[in-house]
Amino acid sequence: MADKPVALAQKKLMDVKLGQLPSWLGTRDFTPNGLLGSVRGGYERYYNKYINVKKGGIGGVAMFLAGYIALSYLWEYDHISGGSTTETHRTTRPLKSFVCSSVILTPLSVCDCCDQE
Amino acid sequence: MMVSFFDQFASPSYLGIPNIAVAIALPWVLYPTPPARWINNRLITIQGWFINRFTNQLMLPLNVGGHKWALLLASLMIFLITINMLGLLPYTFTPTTQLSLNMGFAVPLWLATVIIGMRNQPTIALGHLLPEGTPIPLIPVLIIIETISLLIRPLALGVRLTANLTAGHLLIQLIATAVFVLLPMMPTVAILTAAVLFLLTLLEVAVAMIQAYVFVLLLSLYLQENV
Repeated sequence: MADKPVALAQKKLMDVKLGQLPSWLGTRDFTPNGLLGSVRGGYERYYNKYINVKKGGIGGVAMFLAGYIALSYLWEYDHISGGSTTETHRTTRPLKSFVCSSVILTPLSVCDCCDQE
Repeated sequence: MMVSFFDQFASPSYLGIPNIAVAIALPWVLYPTPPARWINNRLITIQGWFINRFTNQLMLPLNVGGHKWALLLASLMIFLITINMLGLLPYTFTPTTQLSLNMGFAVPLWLATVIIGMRNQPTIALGHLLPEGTPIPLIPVLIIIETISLLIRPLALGVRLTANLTAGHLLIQLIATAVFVLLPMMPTVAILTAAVLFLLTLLEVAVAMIQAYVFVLLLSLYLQENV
């Protein structure tokens, strides 16, 4: 069963086949105005789907805040892990710092007790 | 290199983009503009209720001249309380732990209240420097003291907010580190410390809201004296 023939430029991202992805990206608008428009469009879609509903709950805001936490974690990973790839506790430190509490930004002296100076 | 507890307050940046820019812009995203409808969705209704109630409360002691500041004070309060509360989430950066930001709020706003007072009603504004009922021999000293008190207000405003938030974040990190260190050695003590940590986090939530409120309240008081 064939799909209706739709021009590539008008397809949504999820409908684009993998092989068509580069050419689809070529049809998108990457000017500053275009980027701004896509950000605004994304905001409107999220807002109208999760916030601007009659019986909206905490879910819409919670998803957004979870995304913000994830983004902050990504941005601070370098700082949290000590910046060195030879640190033995590199992968456990960020996890510890999350589990530890809600406000830790550096795990720092978690291992101080076993460090010899 | 010695890693210190204060590293969490260094202004972070990623690929040249400072995180503080996102952290400051975030409150704007969290409060959507109410559309022109009679009945809105739940979140907008709650938001509107809170802002109206707070502004009403804040404007009560002010005269009509002071009501011009309603927009400024209400938006400042929303901004500060949102930033403070967002800073309690894991891994996030709190812009209000930076003294530069808080002084950037405190100094211009305080100066505005002083200039308004000096310009519109200089006698009354200067009269605030001498409380009523002062014994005569004390007058010169008291005027000096009141002037110093006046000049130290912006410093106090900014440093109060910074210090409260910084101290709270620091305490949470210290106690959380203690919990982690104690967990393998003395689990019972670690659990007790974790209970302390939980209570401290609740306190920090309260402090975040109260400090924002105190900042705006004091500004409105300074305005009340001068407008």
